[in-house]
Order: sequence, then structure tokens, then C-alpha cells
Amino acid sequence: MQKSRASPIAFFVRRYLPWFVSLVVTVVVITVGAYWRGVSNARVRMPVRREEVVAKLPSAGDTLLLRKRLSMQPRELGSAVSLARLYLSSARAQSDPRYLGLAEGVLAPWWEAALPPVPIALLRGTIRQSRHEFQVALGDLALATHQSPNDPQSWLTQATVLTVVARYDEALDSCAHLAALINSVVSVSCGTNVRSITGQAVPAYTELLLSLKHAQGADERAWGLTTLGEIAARQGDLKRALGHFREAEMLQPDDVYNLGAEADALLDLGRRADVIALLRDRSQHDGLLLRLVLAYEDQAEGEPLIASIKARFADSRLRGDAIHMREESRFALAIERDSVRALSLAQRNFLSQQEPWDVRVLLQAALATKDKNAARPALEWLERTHHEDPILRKLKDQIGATR
Amino acid sequence: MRGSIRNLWLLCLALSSILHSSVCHAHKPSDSYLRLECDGREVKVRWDIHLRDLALVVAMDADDNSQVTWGELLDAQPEIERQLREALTIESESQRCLGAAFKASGIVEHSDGSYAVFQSAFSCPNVPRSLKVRYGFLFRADPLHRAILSYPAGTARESVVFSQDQPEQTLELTFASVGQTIVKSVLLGMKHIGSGWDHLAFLLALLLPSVLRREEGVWRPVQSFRTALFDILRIVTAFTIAHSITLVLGVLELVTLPSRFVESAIALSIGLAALNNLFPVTTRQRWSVAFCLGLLHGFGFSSILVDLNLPRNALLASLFGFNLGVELGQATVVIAFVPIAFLLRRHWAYPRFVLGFGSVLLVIISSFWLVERARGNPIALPIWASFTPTGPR
Repeated sequence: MQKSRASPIAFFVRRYLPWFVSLVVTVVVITVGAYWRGVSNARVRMPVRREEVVAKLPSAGDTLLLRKRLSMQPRELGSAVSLARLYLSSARAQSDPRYLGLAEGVLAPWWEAALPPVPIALLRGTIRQSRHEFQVALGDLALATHQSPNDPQSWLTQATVLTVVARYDEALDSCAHLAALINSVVSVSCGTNVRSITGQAVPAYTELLLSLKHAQGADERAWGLTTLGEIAARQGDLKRALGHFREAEMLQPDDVYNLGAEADALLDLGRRADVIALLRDRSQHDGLLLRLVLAYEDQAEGEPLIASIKARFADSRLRGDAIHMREESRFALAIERDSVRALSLAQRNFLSQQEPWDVRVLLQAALATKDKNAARPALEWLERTHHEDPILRKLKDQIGATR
Repeated sequence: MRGSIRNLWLLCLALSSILHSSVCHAHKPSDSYLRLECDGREVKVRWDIHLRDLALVVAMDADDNSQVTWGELLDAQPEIERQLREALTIESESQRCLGAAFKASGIVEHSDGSYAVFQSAFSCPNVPRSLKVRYGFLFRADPLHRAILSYPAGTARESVVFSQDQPEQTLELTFASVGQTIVKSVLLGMKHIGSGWDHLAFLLALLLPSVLRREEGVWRPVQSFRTALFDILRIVTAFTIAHSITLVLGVLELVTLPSRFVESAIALSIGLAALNNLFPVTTRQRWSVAFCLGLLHGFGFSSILVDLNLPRNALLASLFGFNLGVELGQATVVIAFVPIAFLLRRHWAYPRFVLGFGSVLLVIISSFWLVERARGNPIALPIWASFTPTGPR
């Protein structure tokens, strides 16, 4: 204090500097804040320059002309069918469900029609089954196959949907119609797939393997290999199945369905690191994200992925979609360890679709909750189909052993 | 013939892959997001629309290069405005609320890409208790399009979904009593102090030397409890006033700072306060440090409330309650700290270990936080070594 009295300036500085600094800092913070406002609000940002690119649109390509034509004549059948097909193949190629909505929009003039033209019925059935509305989809496909029995596409799609809803005799019948029209790996896959589910995996495998020799082109071969892998898995030979999935992957590296099957085989073999390597860069697909999350089980790196898959399930639920129940059930059981929720999801899922994986999910959830009664539809399915997959057989025995 | 078969079965693949929808519902179907705020007779609407959806109904890409610039969007605004006005109507007790023009007010990222943000205000003939909202955007082009609308319901928000089959929804607007809101937000504030302990770390850095005074380059214990208490009170008060100011500014969105900047700056503030204990620049006037750096912490608090997406009309009560909760939580810690520190102050270990070692530790932790927050992603550490504050961040 002595010193400060000696120099009035030093005294002044010591006394009032903190006040001054506080004031300056307040002003600076608020000014900076006011400047940033709007510019960098974490949520909404206001582009500063007019030239800033705010979005990249998918290139319109072939759709442009068709869209123009349809905007003038929305009921022009030829253009509508072509555009809807283009949208459906984009939906497949990019796994982007937005295109399914666009395809439905193109078909709007015929959407409610009781007897639409055959190509419309086929497309409408395809879109409906993609929303898991299998029963109405089958109505459309029955119409299409009845009206134009020489169109192999309708038979193939019908066979696939019938397989999903476990109407195997009718599915085989559709496959037979398909085989009468085209002789290719696709038609052989159709029938052997159904037979491998219903207890004839061994002969089905041989038949499909033989037909692959005559495969024309990489796409057709990859298609057959994926089915072949699934049939091998149903025989309990996961390693061989994996080999087929791998070979298919080399031919068609971006086939999401094959990647999912490959990841499932790897998970069953306990090779989690391989699943992570396979799917790390493909988490934009919900189904593949699920496998990735399962592979990361209990690892800290999986945390953000879990948050993201939860958000996607929530989004889908909010929309009122019910097409994720199988995946959600697997997630609830393995990650959330909520077997009660997993069971309720698996049960609701089983009401709409009965593929082998739906059976497995129901059995697993029923076993986890020790609810023998809940497993009954799945056990009946096993009884009826004579399905051979040792994983499902083992689950059945385990459930039988619980009391 | 060969060509047509090939084509055909390419389509076969398409169909079957879609069928196995377990893997197909990958990106998101089309959604738009609406957010309603009620303010007397006025209903404010924020509407986020995916730019791909917007491009379906409005020609925006003037130069046709598959890219939309902000300028192109602004140029298309009159046409967009016309379409949006037609697509959304709001009624209160069977009377139309009149909408002002929808203005493009920025770009926002949702999980599946960039959305344009539009804002408008509807003025209703009376103060609405329920609203009938009719939504009809994009359904013609994309019947699977949905709109997700959130509106104030009590202390939280509710959501409804519009679809082609359900284009009309009635929203019951409920407003929680002021009391309920305050109680809820007091608890939230206290919880935040408990779990987000970067604020406590900062306060601790300032309070550690309060039972000491600096004389000729060394720390000496203060004589009276009063001296220590006054020092602490000044610091805590300065901190409280400062963060209250910026909390209010932040929550009312009068000033918004990027959260990464705020979080990093908060980490830095802890380090600076702790360094001041090791290499004293100011010892008597630590309250001014508390004030200056406390301004930053207020923005940190405000992000908690902003993230909660509170109804606008519950905001003031929540703000008051939240701040009260923060102060209560803070006071609890101070009351626990002061007597212990005062009793320990004469012990030789206090200046060396509690103050010295404690401050070093705070510097280390805060630099870790600083790097982590500035980088924008957590540094991977085993669980036992992770000291990142958790909580509603």
C-alpha cells in the first residue's frame, strides 16, 4: 500500500484495472456474439454469399424428360411406367427410400384403382411389399400374373413375397411358372431357395450350384451365389456360406443384401473384427448399421453408432413405419438387453413376415424371456417346414428345456 | 431379345433387393420438420424442408448443374412462398389464422442432408387454446412424405405427424403453470451443476486461494474467517452475475455463440484461473476474473436450456428456475468447501498440495478438455481415465 500511495497512477491502475477489464471483456463477448448470431448458430446458418452451394441434387438424368411429359399428361401410361421403374432402380441402387415415395407419386392416378393396367399392378405391388404391406401387394401381383401370365417379372416378385409370408407351396408354383418362361440362375434360385427353407437344403444346394455353371454375366452369378450362401448357412455350413457371400461381394461389392448376409455369417462365426472392417464405411444403411452395432457390442467405439441407430428407429416410429421390427428386436435383445421389448417386437414382426430370420429372432427373444408360449408360432413353423438350420434347431431344444 | 431379358432381370434384382427391406430402408424417406411457438394471438412457425424435396416442386436449379446455390434459392423465393402458403393452414376455433410470408432464414443440417429453413408468423383472431393445422406439402410428388410438427405442451413439447392419409391434426395447447415450470427447471439447474462439473472446476480454481493471502511472493493464511468469507462472496457473486447475464442473452437468443467455441473457452477459463494460482497475476481482484470468464459459462448454461427445445412461453419461468437451481447447487458446494478450507489453511500442506497440486491438476484436466472440445470429438481413453463431464450437454 505504501508503494501505491507513492505513485498515484499505479494506485489508480491497481484499483480500477479489474473494473476496466471486466467492462471490456463484457463488451467484446457481446459484440462477438452479436456478430456470430445467425451466422453460426449451431443449428441454423445463414449463408453469407449468394454463390454458396447449399445442396447437391441427384442428377435428373433420364427422369427429366419423363417428368416433363407427365406434368402435362399425368395419366400417360408409358411414361409413368418408365419413370416409376427408374425411381425403383434408383431406390435399389442407392438404397434410398425417398425414391419409393416418388415412384408412388408417379403411380398416383392408378393408386386406388381396383383393376389397374398390368404394368401398374406389378409396380404397385412392388412398392407395397417394400412397405411390408404383403397382403395387398399379393393382390396386385395376383392381378398381374393373372392378366399377363407371360411376364416372368410378376411371377418372380410374387414368388418372393409368398416366401416371405411362408406360403411355400404357392411360392413354388410361382417359381415353376417363372422357370417355364425363363431358364436362368434367377429361376433356379427362386425354387431352390424355397426348398432350402422347407427341409430340402441339400438337393437345393446341389441344383443351384450346378446351374451357376451356366450363369450369364457377373450380376446373374452374384445373384445365385448369394442364394447359394444362404442355403449353405441353412445347412449349418457357415464357412462355406461365407465363401459364397465373399465371391458374390467381389462381383457386386455394393449389394446391400449380400453384405448383410455376409455380416450375419461373420457374426455367427464370432468374427466381429471382420464385420467392422466390412461395414465400417456403410453405416448409412440401417440394416448394415445394425450389424455394425452388433459387432461393436460392449465397445466404447460403438457408442455413437448406437445413438445413431436409436435415432433412426425413433424417426421411423414417428413416421408410423413398421418395417424395422426385426432389426429393432435384434437390437433390443443384444444391445439394450431388454428381452421383454425384444419379444414384443419379434411377435409383432412375426405376424407380418416369417422368413427364417424372423423365426430366429422370435425364438431368441422367447428364450431370453423364458416364455415358451410366445415361441409357439415359431416352433409350429419349424414343425411345418422341417427347416434344418442347426441354429434354429438348437434354439428350439433350448426352449424345450426351459420350464 | 437378349437385351430385353437382361433388362428384365436387372429389374428382378431391383425388386428383390427392395423386398429384403431389412437392408433397404437405409437413408431416410422424405420428412419435413415444423416447429410451432405460441405468443398470445400469434403462432410462429419454423419449417425445415429438405432441399431435394423443395427442388421437386419448385424449379430452383436455374443453371441446371445439379447444385443449388443460396442465391438460386432466394431467387425462387416468391414461388416457394406461394407453395408453402397453400400447403399450410392454421385455424383457431374455426377461424383462419392469417400467415405472413415465409422467409428463407438459413440452412440447417439434419441427419440426411441440408434443409432450407423458412419462418413465418400466423396471427389468429383470438388467443388459441387449440389449433387445427392442415398440411399438404409434397404429397402429390411423394405420397410417402411426412411432416413432423412439434408444439408446446406443458413444460415440454409434443409431436404430431402429418401424412397423405392424415393431413389434418388438432393440437391441444397446454401450458404448464409457472410453479411447475420453475420447480422442474430448478431441479434441472441443480442437476447440471452436479453433472457438468467444468463449472465447479472453474469456481474451485478461484476459491482455493480464498483462505490465503499473497504477501511478498508467498501464500499466508488469512487471519479472520470474515476476510475469507468476503473474498468468497465477492467471487461467487461476480460469477453469478456474469453467468446470469449471458444465460439470459443466450436463452433468449439475443446472443448466440457457436457451442464448440463456448465449450472450448470454458475449458480455457478453468486453465487460466488455475494458472493464476500458480503464477499470480491478480490475487486481490480474483472476483474480476470470475466476472469476465463467468460470462462464458453463462453461454454454456444456456445451451442446456436451448437444447431442451422449451416452449417459448415457458421460457422465462424456466430461465429463472434454472438459474436458481444453478445457484443453489453452487451454494451447496461453496458452503461445503469454505469451512474445510478455512480449517486447513494453516497446515503446511494447504498452499503446497491443496492449492499447488490442485491447480496443476486443474490445468491438466482443462487443457485436456480444451483439446477435446476444440477438436470437436472426444479423445479415446479407457473408461477409468476418462474425466469428461457427463450430463445434459
